[in-house]
Amino acid sequence: MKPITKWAGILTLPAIIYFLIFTLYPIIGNVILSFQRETLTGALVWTGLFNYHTILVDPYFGLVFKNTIFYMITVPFIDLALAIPLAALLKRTDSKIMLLLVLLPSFIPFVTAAVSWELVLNPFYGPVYYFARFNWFKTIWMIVIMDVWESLPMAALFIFAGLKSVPREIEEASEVDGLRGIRKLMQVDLPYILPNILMSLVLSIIFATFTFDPIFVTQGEVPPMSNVDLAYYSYQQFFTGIIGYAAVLIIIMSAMSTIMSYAFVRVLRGNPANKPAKSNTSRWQSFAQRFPNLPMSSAVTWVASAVYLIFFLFPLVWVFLESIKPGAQIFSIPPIILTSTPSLVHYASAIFEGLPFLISSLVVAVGVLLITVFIGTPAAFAMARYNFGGDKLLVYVLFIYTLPSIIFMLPLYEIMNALGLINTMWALIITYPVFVLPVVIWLSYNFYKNFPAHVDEAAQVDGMNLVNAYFRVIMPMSMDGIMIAVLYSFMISWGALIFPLVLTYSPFSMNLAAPIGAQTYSIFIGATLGHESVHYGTLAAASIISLIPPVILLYVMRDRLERMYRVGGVKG
Amino acid sequence: MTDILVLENVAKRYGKIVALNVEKLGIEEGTYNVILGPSGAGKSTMLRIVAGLDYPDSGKIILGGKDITNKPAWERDIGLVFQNYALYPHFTIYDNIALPLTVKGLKKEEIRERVMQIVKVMGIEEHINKYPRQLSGGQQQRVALARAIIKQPKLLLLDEPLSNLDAKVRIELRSYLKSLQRQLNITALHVTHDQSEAMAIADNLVVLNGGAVDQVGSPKDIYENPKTVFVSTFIGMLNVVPTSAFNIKDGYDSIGFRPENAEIVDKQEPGTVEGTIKYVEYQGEETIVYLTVSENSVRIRDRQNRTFEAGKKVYIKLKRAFAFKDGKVVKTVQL
Repeated sequence: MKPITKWAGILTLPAIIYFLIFTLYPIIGNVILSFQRETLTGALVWTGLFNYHTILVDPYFGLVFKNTIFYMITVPFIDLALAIPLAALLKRTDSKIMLLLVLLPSFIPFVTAAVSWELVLNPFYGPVYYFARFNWFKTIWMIVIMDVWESLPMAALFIFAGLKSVPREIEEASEVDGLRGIRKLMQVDLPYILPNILMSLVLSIIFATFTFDPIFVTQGEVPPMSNVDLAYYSYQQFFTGIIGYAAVLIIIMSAMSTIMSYAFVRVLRGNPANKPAKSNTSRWQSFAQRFPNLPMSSAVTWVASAVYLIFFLFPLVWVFLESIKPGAQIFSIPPIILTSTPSLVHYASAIFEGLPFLISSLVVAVGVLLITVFIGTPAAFAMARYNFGGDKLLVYVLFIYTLPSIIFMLPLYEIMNALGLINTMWALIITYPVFVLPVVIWLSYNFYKNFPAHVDEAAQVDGMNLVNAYFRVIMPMSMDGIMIAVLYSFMISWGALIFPLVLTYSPFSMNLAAPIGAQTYSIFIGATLGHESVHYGTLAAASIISLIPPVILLYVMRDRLERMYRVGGVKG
Repeated sequence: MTDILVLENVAKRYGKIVALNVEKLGIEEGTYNVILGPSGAGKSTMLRIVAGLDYPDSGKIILGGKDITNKPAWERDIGLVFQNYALYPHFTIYDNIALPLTVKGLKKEEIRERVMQIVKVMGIEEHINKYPRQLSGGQQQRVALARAIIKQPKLLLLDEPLSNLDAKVRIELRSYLKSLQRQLNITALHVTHDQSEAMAIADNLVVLNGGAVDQVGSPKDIYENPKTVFVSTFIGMLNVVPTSAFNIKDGYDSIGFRPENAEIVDKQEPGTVEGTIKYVEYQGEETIVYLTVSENSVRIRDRQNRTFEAGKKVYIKLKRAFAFKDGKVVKTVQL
C-alpha cells in the first residue's frame, strides 16, 4: 500500500465507520425485521413469510402502490417541462433577486411548504377554493402541486447552473455563428447540459416517489387513504406497531429506489459521446435545427417570469397575510386578503409555544452540521483527490444519497431504543447524518475534483502529512465548497420530518439539568398545529418563522450559489 | 490595393484603464496580418471589437466599405478561431463545421457539398463523424478553422490559435495557416504574443503597445527599421547601451544594436571599443557571446564558428545601430 493511501484512509475512516453502522446495518436490519413480528409485550419473534403474505391480503396495498406510481410519473414530468423554460428565463433575466425568489420553495422545509398550500387550498377558508370553487382536497393532484412546488426550483437550479457553466468561448462561438434564442437552447445548451437535465430528472423522480410530508400534513382533511403512498403507509404501519409489515413495505421501496439510484449513478458517471456518431448529424441536431433562430422576445420573458413568480410566491404571501390577521378574520368567508388591523399575536404564540421545538431544531441542526462537515469533507477530499475507496465507495455514497430516509426508520429506531436515546436530541444528531452526510460528501467530492492538486502536493513537500495538510491548508482554502455543504446540511436538518416523528415524542422539557424531549419545529408545524388542531394563525406564523434560517442562508449564499453549482456541477 | 478592414479612432476603456486606442489602422485585402504585443497591449480587445464580441467606446470599424461598429457578431462577415477551439463538444465534427451554414438556412445538399469540400482541403475528412474530444489538439484546431472559414467570411480572425498546441504541431500548423490563407485568398487577422510565430507568418505586422499601434509593416521592415524603442526591443534581441559606451556624442538618449550587427575583433581598430568576454553560449549554427563593455552587458552573435574564451579582452566593432531619443528611433547609423 502506498503511504498516501494510508493517510487518505485515515481521512475517510470516520465517514466509513458511520456508514457501516448507520446505513449498512439498517439496510440489512430491514430484511431481518421483515421476517419478524412484534408481540403484545413488544418483543420481536420470527414469523417467516407472514409479513410478505400480508401484501396479498392487504386491501389498501393496491391503492397505495398506485398512488406511489402516480407521483413517480406526474411530478418529474411536470418538473422537467417547467424547469427547462424556467432555467432559460433565469439565465435570460440574469436577476439575482429573481433567482432567490424562485429558489425559496426548495429551500424552505417541505412541511412548511405543504402547510402553506394547505392554507391556500383548503375548502373552508382557503382563497383558492373561494375564488375557484374547486376542492383540491378531494383530489390526489393536490399532493402533486405541493411536490412540484417544492422540487421544481431545485430542478431548475441544476439546469440553470448547467446553462451558466457553458464556457464563454462556446457562447461566443455561437454568437459569431449566429445562433440565438430557442434554436441556441435546443442546439447548443440542452445537449451540452444533458447530464444536468438527467440528474435533475432522476432526483425529481426519487423525490416524488417517496413523498411523505404533504401526505402527513393533509391526513385527516382528505378522504382516508386517498392520497397515501408507500412511504406514508409504511410510517402508518410502524406507528401502529406493525413493524414487520412496515419492513416489508420498506424493502419494496428499497428495491425501487435502488433501481433509481442505479439510473442516477449511470447518469452521473456516464460519458456520452465516446464513440463516433453513426452519421454526420445526430438525430437530436436534425430535430433541433427545425426551431426558429430568433431571440427570445422580452415581452415573453417578463410575462413568463411573472407567471412563475406568482406560482412560487402566492402560497408564501398568503401565509404571511394569514399570520398577521387577528384571530377572527382568519375564519371569515369570503376570505379577507389584506387585514386592516395587523397583529403580531400569532407570532407571540408561535414563538412562545414553539420555543422548545425551536431549541431542539437549532441544536440538532448545528450538531449535525459539525459532524457532517468534519467527517464528510475530509472523506470527500480523499475520495476525489486520491480515489480512496475507488468506485465502490463513491457509488455507495451516491446510493445512500438517493435512498429516501424512510428506509432507515425502523432499524435506527431499534438502535436508538437499545441505546436509550429515544426522545433525546442525541438520537436526532446521531441519525440525521444518514441523509445529510452523503449530500455533504457528494457536494464536496465535486468541489475537490476541480481543486488544484498542487496545493496539497506543496503542503506534503512542506512537511505536512495528509491529515495535517487537509485541516491546515486545504480545508481553509475550500470555504466556497464547504459553505454550500454547510448550507445543505443545515437546510436538510431544519426541514427533516420523518426521523423526528419516529425518534421523538415530546417537546424539549426546558430543564437543563435533566433534558428530555426533542420534538423539532417541523413537528410543531406539521403535527401539533396542523391536522391535530386548527390553530391557523399560529400555524401561519410558525411557518413564516421556519422560513427565517433558509432565507438568511440563501441571502448569505446569494453571490456564491451559482458559482458553487458551477463548481459542484455534474462531473462524473 | 484596398483596405478591407479599417479602424478609425477606436477606443475602449475598462474603468480608468485604456485598453485600446487606435487612431487609424487599415488591413489590406488578401493579406496575412498579425497583431503582436505583450500581454495587456490590447491585442485581444482589438480582436474582440472587430469580431463584435465587444463594442468600442468610440470610433468606427469599417469592413468591406460598410460601417459595422454597432452590428452584432453574427451580422458581421467574419470567421473567428478561438484560442481553445471552442468547438461544440456534443456536435459531430460535421455538425460543428456545418453550423454557420445551417444557421443561414442553406439547403442540406449545398451544406454537405461545402463541408465535404473544406474537410478535404483541411485533411480531416476521416474524422467527420467523431466528436471533438476524440481528436488531438491540432486536429481540433483545424476543425475550428474549417468552421470559421466555411461561410467564406470577408475576414478571418484568429485569437492566439496556436498557443494551446505543443511546439512541433505549432510550427506545422502555422505554415499550414499561411498556405491555406494563400490558397483561399482570404484576409486573416491573427493575434499572438509569440514574436517568432508573428515573424514567420505575417505579411503585415501590427505591433501594439499599451493599447496603441506602435508600428505597422512587414516583419523585415519592422526588424530592420523599428520606429520606437519598444518595437526595437520587443521584436528580436537588442543590446541597449548608453551612448558613452561607444563614444558617441550626438545628444541621443542611448543606442541599440542587434547582436548580429557587431563583430568581435582581436585587435584595436579605429571605431572599436574594448570589452571583456563574460561567457559563451554555443548554439550550433551560431554562438552568442556575452560581454561587458564599460559595465554594460551586451550580446554578440557569431556565425563563423570561432572559438571564444571567457575572461579574454577583445574589441567590438559596431556595424549598424539605432539611435534613441524620447522613446523613438531617431536615426539608424551605418558604420
